[in-house]
Amino acid sequence: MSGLARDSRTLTPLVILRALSGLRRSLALYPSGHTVIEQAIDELERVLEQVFVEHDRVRIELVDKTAHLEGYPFRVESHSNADALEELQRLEIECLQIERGVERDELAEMAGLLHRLGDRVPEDSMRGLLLAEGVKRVTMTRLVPVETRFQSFEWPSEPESILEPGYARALDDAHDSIGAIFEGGTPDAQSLHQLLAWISEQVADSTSALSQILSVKRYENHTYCHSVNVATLAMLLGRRIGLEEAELMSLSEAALLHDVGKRQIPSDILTKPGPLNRREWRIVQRHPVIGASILTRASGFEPLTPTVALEHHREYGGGGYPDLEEQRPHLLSQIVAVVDTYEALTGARPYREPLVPEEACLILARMAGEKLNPALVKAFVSLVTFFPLGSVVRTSLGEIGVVIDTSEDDPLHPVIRLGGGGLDSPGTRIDTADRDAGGEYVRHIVETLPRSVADPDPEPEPLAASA
Amino acid sequence: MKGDPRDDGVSQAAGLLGRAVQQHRIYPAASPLCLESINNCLSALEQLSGEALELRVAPRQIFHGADPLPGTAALSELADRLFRADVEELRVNRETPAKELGRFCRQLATWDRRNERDGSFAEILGERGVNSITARAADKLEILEVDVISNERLAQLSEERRARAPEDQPREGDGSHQAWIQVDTDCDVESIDLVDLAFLVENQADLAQVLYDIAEGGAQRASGAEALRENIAELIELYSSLSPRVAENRFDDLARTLMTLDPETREALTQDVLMPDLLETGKAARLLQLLPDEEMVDAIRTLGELEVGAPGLVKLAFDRLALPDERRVALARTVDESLHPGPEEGESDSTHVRLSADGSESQDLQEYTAHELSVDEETAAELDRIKTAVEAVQPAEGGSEWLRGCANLVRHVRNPDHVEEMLELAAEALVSLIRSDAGKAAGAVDDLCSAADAVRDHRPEVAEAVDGLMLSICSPSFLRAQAQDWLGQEDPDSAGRALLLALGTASIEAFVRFLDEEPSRAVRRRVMDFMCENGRALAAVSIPYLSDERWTVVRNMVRIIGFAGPGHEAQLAPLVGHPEDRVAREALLALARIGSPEAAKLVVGRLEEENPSRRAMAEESIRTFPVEEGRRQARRLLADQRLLRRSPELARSLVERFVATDRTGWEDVLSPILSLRFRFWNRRQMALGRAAAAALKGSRR
Repeated sequence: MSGLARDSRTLTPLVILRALSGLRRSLALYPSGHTVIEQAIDELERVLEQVFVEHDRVRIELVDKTAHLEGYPFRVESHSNADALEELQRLEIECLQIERGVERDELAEMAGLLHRLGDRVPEDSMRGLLLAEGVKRVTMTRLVPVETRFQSFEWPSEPESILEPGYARALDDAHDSIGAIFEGGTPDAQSLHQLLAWISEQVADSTSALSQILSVKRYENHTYCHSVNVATLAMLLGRRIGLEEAELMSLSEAALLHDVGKRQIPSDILTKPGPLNRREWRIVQRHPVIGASILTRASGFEPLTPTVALEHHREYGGGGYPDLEEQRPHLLSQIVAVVDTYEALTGARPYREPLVPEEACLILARMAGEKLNPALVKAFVSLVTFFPLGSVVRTSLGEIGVVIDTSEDDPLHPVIRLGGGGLDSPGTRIDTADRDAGGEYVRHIVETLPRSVADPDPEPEPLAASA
Repeated sequence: MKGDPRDDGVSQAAGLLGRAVQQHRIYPAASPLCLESINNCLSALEQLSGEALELRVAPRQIFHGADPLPGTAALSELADRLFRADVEELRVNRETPAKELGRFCRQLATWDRRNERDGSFAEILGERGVNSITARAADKLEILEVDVISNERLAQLSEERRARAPEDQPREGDGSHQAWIQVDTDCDVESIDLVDLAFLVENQADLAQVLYDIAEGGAQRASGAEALRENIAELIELYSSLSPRVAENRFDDLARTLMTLDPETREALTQDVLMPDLLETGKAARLLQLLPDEEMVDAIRTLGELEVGAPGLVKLAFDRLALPDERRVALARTVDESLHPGPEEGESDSTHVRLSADGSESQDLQEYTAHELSVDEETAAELDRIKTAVEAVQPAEGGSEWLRGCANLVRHVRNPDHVEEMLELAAEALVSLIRSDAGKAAGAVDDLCSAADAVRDHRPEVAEAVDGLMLSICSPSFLRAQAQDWLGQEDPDSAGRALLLALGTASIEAFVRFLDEEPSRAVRRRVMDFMCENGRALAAVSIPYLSDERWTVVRNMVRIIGFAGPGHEAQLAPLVGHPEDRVAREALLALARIGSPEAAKLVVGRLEEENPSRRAMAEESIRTFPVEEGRRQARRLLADQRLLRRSPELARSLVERFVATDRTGWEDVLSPILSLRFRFWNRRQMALGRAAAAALKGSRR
C-alpha cells in the first residue's frame, strides 16, 4: 500500500473523478481539439501531476457509493461527486489505476472511450479496450473479494447430547456469573466461590461429567464453558499432585477466572470464523493483562488469582506473552497452562475441528520442556490418559470398544469393553495391555472414534478407581 | 449553517480541540500551556447545546453534519492527524473529564503508524482510559498487490478447481472477507479463496507477500525473505490443497527458493516451521523430500536434541517423509551415523532409535511411544517439590506475590485509571507487608520502582503514580518507625536497609518532611543516625538535594553522603565554600569522614583559608580523618614550616591524634619540631614541641 492517501494534503479521489467526468462531458458537447476539451485535459493532468510528484501511480477504488484512494475511504459529499462516481460504476468499473508517465493523448483516449460507451457495459474487458486505443498506463478493472479463511466451522452453541446434570448446572451458573463479568460487571467473589464449591463437589467427582469434559467437545467453546472445564481439570491435577484443600481452592479460582480478560476483546475477533491475522492476534494477546487488571482491582479473591490470569500464556522456558522478561511463571500458572492447553485443544474452534484426547496429549507432550512444565504434563497425561474413560476406540484388530479403565504404567493400553451400552451392559472386557507368548502386545489402540459409534451415553467406571 | 449559534459553538469547540492537540504536540502534558488548552476546550464543550461534539473527518477538513468547519490551521492539523489515525468520525462528550481529554490529545499528537501493531487509534483510546471520546475507524479496503486476473486465467482456475480433491474445497463461510483483488471487467467470478489465490499467483514470493499483507491487515510491511519466512507454513498448507500436478510444480519452486536462502535462515525455518509441521500435519514432507540429501540430513538432525525427551522422534519424522526405498536406506545410515556414532545397529545405549533398524510397532503409535510420559521416580519427586512450593505460599507471601503481579501489570496495563486503582490497593498491601516481612516488602518496592522506571519515558503518568505511591508509603512516621526497628542493626544487608534502598528518593523526601515536622530533637537525632547508617544506600538519591534552597536540607544530605564512603567527593567539593558556615563545616567533616586522598586534598586545601573560622573548620575536620589517611596527611602537614608557625595547635593535635596511634617511623618528621619546646615566648609552639618530644620518646622506646 503506498502512502499516497495518508500523504495527500488536498488530493482526494473525488477531485480526480470530477476532472475525469468533466472531460468526458466536454467530449459530449464539443468537437475534438476544442479549447474546452483541452482545458478539461489540462485540469486532469494538473491533478494527476500532484500525485506523480511523489508516487508512481494513483489507484481509486469504487465500492458501495464510496470512493477510496489506495483503500482509504472518502465520503461522497456532493451530487457532482456522486455523479462522477456512478458514471464509472455503471460501466462496472470498480478500480481505476493511472500510472506515472501517462500521456495527454492517453487521457484523452480514455475519456473518449468512456464517452463512446455511455452507459453500455462492454462485452470485452476495459483493459483490452484501453490497450486497443493505445492507452497503456490506465487500467480499469473490477474488484473481487478474497475469502481469506482457510476453513471455517459452525458449531452448535450448546452440546447436542445430554450433559451430566451437575455439570450442566455448573455451566448454567458460570454462564450467569462469568457472563456478568463479560457484560462489564465486577467479579462477584461470593457467587464464583459457590460455583467452585459446586464444581468441586458435583463435577470433579463425577466420572460422567469428567468424561464429557475430557473428551472431544463438538460445540462452541464459550469462555464460560472453557472456564468451568479448566477449573475442573485444574482441580483434578491439583489433587493428583496432592495439594491441600486451601491450595486447591486457590488454584481452581485462578483457573476459573484465567480468561476474564477476554471480555475486552471484540467479540468479532473472539468468534471470527477463521484464523486470526497478526493484528487481531496481538489484540487477543492483551487478554492476560486485561484479566489480571480486572482481578487485581476486584476484591475477595486469592492473591495469586491475578498472577495466574497474567501468566497463563507464559511458557515454562520463559517465552510466551505478555513479555515478563523471562520470569518463569508461578507454579499455579504452570498448572493452569497445562490444563488450559488441553481443554482448548479438545474444544471446537471456528477454524478447526476439536482434537481427540490422544492427539491433545501428544501436543502436550511435544510442548513439555520448553513451553509446559514436563512433570505437570506427565502428571496430567497419566491422569486423563491418552484415552480417557468413556472414549470410544478402535484397536489394531479392528475391534471397537469403550475405555473402562486405564493404567498409569501403560497409558497407551487401556482396558476396554467391546460394543456399546452402559457399564453394566454385557460386553467382552479386553485389557489391551495383554501380550502374547513372545512378549509383544496383542493389539494397540489405533484411534478414537466419535461417541455415537458405540453408544451415545456410555457410563464408565469412576475415574478415582484408576487415577 | 452560518448564523446558527450551535454552529458557532461547534466550530469553536472543534478549533479549541485542535489547538489542544497542537499544544500537546509541542509541550509536555503537564505544562501550563497544555493545561490551559484543555481547560479552554472543556469550557467550549460545556457551551454546546447538544450532548456531544460530533465531527466527521476528511483530509485536511472537518465536517459537522454535512457542513465543513472553517479551515483554520488548528482544525487542519486536527483533521490531518485524525485522518492519519484512520478516524472517520469523532464524538467528544460534553462532560468529558479533563484527564481524558488530555490523554486523547497526547495520544493523537504522538500517534504513529507503527502504533497500529497493537490496535487502531479508535481501539487504543478505550484501552487508555478515554471513555468519553469515541472514534470510529474508517472502513478501509485492503487491495492485494496481485496482477489483474484475466478471463483466460479464470478459465484455468475453473479447471484447477475441478481437479482438486473435494475435501480441499474451502467450506462455506459467512460471506465476510478481508481483502480484494482486481479482475478484468469481463470476468464472471463472485469471489475467490486462498487456494485459488495460490493457483493464480504463481510467484511464491508474491504470494508470501500477499499472505503477509492479509495477516497484518496492512499494518506492516515486510521484505520478501521475511514474508516467506513468516508464511512458509501457510504456503505449504495452500499448495497441499492444490491439484496434484500444480502442487508438484509449486513445491518444486518452493524447494528451489528455500535453497536460495542463506543457510542460517534456512536452518531456522527448518527447525521452527518445517519439522514441527512435518510432525503435526505431515504436509511439509512434500517440500522436505525435494531438498538435496545433505539438507535433508541436516533437517532431520535438528530433531536429534529432542530425542532425549522423546526417544524415537527422529524415526517418526523420518518415516513421515515417505522417501523412496533406495534414498531412505542411504539417508537413514547417514542420519544414524551423525546422531549416534559408534554403537552397532541394535544396541540401545542411546535415546536415538536407529533409522536403519526395522520398526515393527504400529505406525499410529510411534509418536505416542516416542514421548516418555510415565510418572517415574524423578517426576514423582518433582511433583512433590511442586506441592511443597505451592503450599509454602503463606498469606504474607501471598501479599508479596500479589504485589509482584501488580508490578508486572503496571508495565503493561494501558489505562492509567486502572493503574491508579491498582496502586491504591498496592499501597495497602505494601504497608501490611512492611509490617510482616520488611525483606519481602523491599523486594516488592523494588519491583514496583523498576516497573515505573521501565515505563517512565513513554508512560510518564504511570511512573509518576508509582512515585506517588512510594511517597505515600514512606511517610515521616514510617521513617520514625524504621529507625526504631532498624537503628544499630549491624547486618549490612538488613531488611530495613534493603527497604530504604528500594524506596530510594521517596525515603529522602520523607526524611526532609520528617525534619520539618518532628519536634523532638532526640527523635530527629535517632532518625538522622539511621539515615547516616544507611548512607551508602541513600547517597545517590541524596545528591539531587545538595542544591536545595534550604541550607538545613543541604546540611543533612551532606551528612548522609559523608557516610557513603569514597565516590562522592566531587559532589561535596563545592559545598566546602557554601555561604552557610554550618553547611561548609558539614561538608568538610563529610569529606574527612570519607577520608580518601581526594577528600583529604580538599580538606587540607582549606587550611589556606583567609577566614579564620573557615580555617578552623578545616583544622577541626583534619582531626576526624580515618587513621591511615590521617597519618599520611599529618606527615605531610608536620613537614610544612608555615603550618607549624601559623597553626601550632593543629600540628599538636595531629601529633597527638595520629602519632600516638603508631609511634614508629616518625623521627624524620618530629625531630625538626623538637626545638620548638624551648620557645618560651610562644606557648603554643612550645606545647607543640613538647608533644613532639613525648611522641618521639614513645617511638624510640
